[in-house]
Amino acid sequence: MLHSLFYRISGLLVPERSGGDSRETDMHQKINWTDSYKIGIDEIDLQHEYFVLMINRLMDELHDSGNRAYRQRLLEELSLYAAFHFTSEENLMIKFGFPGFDDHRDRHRRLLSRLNERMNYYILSRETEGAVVDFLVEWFVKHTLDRDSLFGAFINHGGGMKK
Amino acid sequence: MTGAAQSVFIISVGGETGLLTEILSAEGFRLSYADPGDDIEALIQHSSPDLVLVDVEGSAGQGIDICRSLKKAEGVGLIPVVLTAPLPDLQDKEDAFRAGCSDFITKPFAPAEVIVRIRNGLMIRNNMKLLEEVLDAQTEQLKQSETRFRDIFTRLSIGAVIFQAVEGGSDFMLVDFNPAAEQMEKISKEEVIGRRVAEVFPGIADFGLLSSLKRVWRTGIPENHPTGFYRDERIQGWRANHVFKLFTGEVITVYRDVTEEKVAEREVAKSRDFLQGVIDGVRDGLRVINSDGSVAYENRAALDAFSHAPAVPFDDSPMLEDVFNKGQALIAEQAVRDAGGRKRIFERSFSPVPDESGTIVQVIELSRDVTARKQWQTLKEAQMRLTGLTLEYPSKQLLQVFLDEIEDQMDSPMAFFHFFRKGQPMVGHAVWSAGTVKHIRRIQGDAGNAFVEFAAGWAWECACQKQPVVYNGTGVLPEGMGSGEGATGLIRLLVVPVVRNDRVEGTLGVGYRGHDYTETDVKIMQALGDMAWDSYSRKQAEEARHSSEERLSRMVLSSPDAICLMGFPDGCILDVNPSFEAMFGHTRGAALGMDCRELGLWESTGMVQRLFELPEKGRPVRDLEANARRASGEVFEVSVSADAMALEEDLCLVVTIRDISERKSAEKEKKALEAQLQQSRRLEAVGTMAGGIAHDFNNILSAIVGYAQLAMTGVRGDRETCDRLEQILAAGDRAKDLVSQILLFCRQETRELKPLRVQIIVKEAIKFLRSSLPSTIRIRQHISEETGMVMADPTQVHQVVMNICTNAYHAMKSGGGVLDLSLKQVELPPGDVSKPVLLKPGTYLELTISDTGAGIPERVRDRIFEPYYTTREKGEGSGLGLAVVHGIVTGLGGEVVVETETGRGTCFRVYLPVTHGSDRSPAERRGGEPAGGSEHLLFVDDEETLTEMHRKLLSYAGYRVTAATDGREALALFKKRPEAFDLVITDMTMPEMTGDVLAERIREIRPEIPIILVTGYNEQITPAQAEAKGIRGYFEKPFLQRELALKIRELLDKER
Repeated sequence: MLHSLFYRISGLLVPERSGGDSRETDMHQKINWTDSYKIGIDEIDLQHEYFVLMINRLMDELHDSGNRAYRQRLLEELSLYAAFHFTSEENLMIKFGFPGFDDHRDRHRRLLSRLNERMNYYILSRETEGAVVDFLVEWFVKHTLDRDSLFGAFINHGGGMKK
Repeated sequence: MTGAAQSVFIISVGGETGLLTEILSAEGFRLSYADPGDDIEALIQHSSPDLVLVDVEGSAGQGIDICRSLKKAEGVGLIPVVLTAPLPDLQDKEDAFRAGCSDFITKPFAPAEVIVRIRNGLMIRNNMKLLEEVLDAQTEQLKQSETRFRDIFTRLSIGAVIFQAVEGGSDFMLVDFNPAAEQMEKISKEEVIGRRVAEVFPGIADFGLLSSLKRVWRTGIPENHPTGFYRDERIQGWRANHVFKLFTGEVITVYRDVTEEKVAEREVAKSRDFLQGVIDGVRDGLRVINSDGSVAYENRAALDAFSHAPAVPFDDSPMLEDVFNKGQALIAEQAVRDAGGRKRIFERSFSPVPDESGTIVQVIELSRDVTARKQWQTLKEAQMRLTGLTLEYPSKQLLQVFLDEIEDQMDSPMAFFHFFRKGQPMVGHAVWSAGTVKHIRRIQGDAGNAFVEFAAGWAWECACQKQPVVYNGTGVLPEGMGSGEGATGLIRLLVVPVVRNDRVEGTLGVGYRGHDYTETDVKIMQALGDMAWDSYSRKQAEEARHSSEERLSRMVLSSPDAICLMGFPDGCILDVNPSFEAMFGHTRGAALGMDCRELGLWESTGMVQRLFELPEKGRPVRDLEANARRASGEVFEVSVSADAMALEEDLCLVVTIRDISERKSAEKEKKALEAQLQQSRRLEAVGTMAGGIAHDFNNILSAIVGYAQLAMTGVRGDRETCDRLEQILAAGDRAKDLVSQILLFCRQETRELKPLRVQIIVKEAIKFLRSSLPSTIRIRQHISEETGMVMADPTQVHQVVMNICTNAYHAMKSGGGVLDLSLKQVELPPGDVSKPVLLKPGTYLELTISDTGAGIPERVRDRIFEPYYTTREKGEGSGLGLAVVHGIVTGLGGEVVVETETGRGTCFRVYLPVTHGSDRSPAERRGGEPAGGSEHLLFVDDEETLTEMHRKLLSYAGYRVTAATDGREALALFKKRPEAFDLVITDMTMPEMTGDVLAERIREIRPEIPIILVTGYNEQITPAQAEAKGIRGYFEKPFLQRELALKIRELLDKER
């Protein structure tokens, strides 16, 4: 019950945050981690919170650091963390027999494929940091708050076992 | 890379193709695209790309499916497929590669990664294409060569069969069979192909070819299977096979049928083998030599003898020439060294072989090895020679000559013989052949020694084993030993033992031969060794016999004892030795043949009797003492030993006579000497005792005389008292005299000795005697003036004369007689036994005093020199007379002896050693009353009475006297005022500190102060020692006050 409430709140939040965002601005609005982002699975929430932390840091660092190689490695770090996080999440889904697993799994890979493209384009200097950050924020908001909450709801509504 | 652009077909599963297009087109790849919805296979077949890249946006599954279907598709399967997908799990990768993917690129990827992986895929594809082309070309070639091979195979005139190994090469299957083989084996190809070899040819295993096939198949090495006879139920014949392996792994054999040739050949061989067998059976060497010198034939024995035997081949050409020319057979004996260096002797015959026309075309040469036969023959000769040598040489040289001969016989550069001493488990001395000695000399030094030890080692080894020791091998040679003949390091040795009564007497060795020692050599050596030893020991025994005879006769000749050989029972003298001649004074010539009784050798006839009983009693006479008689008639004592013995079957007596007369007389002298020694020891013991008594008595006497003198000084006016004191002093004087006589006897009174002419004293004594002896006693004198002087005190000598004369007087007192005094100088040479034995040899004065009295009875003779021993009535004599004489004379280094005969008289002989010192007249020592003085004297004596007496006496003389009764007190006084004293008089023997020590201490303070030492009877210090300590005056108690006063004055005056 509590989670569905969060879900709703978070749904409300999105337009507001994206409305405040300007693509022309170099400096992005950072994501402010709140309980509303939680999907109700402690392990996943923790990872999400850290993911947010990474995105926020990336915003600063992509903007500030003059070291190109370092900036590339930050994106790699994020990509590796995402791969780790997805694997964790998928393993929980397998464990609890989440019915939306295949779809969710496919989505995870698409995200990574797209991140691969963003990274390569960025490396090839075909995209700006801003575009990359936009992609990440959108990813977090859409995927995390949208898709992962489904898994959270499944768990907490007793879809499988009690937690 | 490659010239034409390569084409990549991208299948995009979801997502966009933008990124890959951008990356790959930049690298110049041609690209075409498709979606999963398209007819992919058709599209690919159409564009025939070099590589397909499946790009999956989501899960890898769909991409893997596409890959799988492509791999199965006709004409597309060979195109490499590369898959790229994000986050594949391990199963995805597994599936992808199983489906036939050639590579999997995980997103995110780096552009370079994609490019390189695609290029790699393309490269593999290209290489495979190339390989296909090469393969196609090769297949074509193979086809051609196959045709060629087939052509050859079928057209071959010899048989050719190809086998394929089955069951791992343990059996073979026929795979091809050429027409020639079909013809030879009378079987068609169709009948044999695909069948096992043994099925077709059952005799193949016996024939041996099966194992050849196996071997060749296994090793790949071609083999000639030797010509053999094949046989089975169907066919038979001689076959010669060559087997080899084909590159295909098959084995082929090509072969011929040689049956016909083989049969013909065997016929020839049979007859030849027979002949060869006959000829080879002959043990002599047989050669057929052509006129050009070449060898037409030689048998095995000839090969043995000539091909490897002679180091230098025979030079047969002169003989061959002779035989060819004259047509007459020749026989010769030749010695040669074979390749092994062995000496071999051949008996050779050359026989001509004429042809039909009578021309000599060949020579048959027969050679027979007669080495062994010859060796025994020469050995026999050598034995004869050695026997001859035995007569010629003494044993010492004999062995060496033998060894030289053996060296020659054994064809060895060295030969040596080692002796083994009886009962000693060690190598004794060695004898070397001349060659060996030369060798040892040449190598010299340590190496030479090493060789000697080396040879001894072998001898030892041989002796231990009691077996011949043979060594034909290479050994480590001691340093320097390789320098001999054939210095190759190869040494050979042969050592044989000479065993007698199971004991090794010696070893005979040879060595360093150029070739091996054989069993025959061992036998020969043993024969030689035995012969050498026997000859040697026989010779030595012979020599020993000779030399022992000589030794014996020398012993007899040089014996100091007289040896006399007498016949039995006639007593006829058969021989005597030189000592006999010397001892008895009969010459050998005069003695021989005489009866010993006629010669009168024995004083009594008992001896002769005793000797002639000998053979009956059977016990030899030993050291029988008897009296013998010389030719001069002199009888002397002898010791006789005799024995009976058989001499050349006649019984005779050997009598050994030893002259023991000297020994006898020496024994008598010895007894006399012992008696004399005993007496002198007894006298010495008595003297020691008397000396002790006299010493104590002296001190008492000093006090009596001293106080009497003192009293006289005090009573000058009292006539009567003076007279009495005079009596005391007179008695004191007598007592003092007595004491000094005792001390004289004890030789403990030291007197000043001076060179003295004894004549004066003797004459003086005679003068005195004349006036005092009664007229019944006549005095005779024989005083020689030609004598040297003696070191003596005149008073003592006087006393000696007087004491003896007094005794003579007493002896003649009742009956009168003659008193004879004689004096002469005598020489006592060493060993003169007629003179007193205790004296050292030298020059002496001999004073003889004899009387014609009653003589001394025998029972008292030994005791006459003892003190207080007297035969007279009490009061007639002191009993000290002769004791004093004895004491004085021995004290002077002389001797007194007595000869007495009861009823005839007594004779005393006094011997005094003559001094070689200068003639110096005795100093006069007379003076008036000594002068006194006023000096300060320190007087020390532990006896208070004496001290007091002297203090008084000296005070009367005017001296200031300080007295002390021990050394410490005296020293303390002196230390207090050293300069106050002018002279010190100290007693020697004092408790706490002796006089000499006190003197030393005082002299440490004042070295120049005169000191007088007074001693009692005391041997602690002599005048010389005292003088050495710086003591100026020396007095012995008792002494006269007068003398002391004189000395004090003298020293003090000197001081001034």
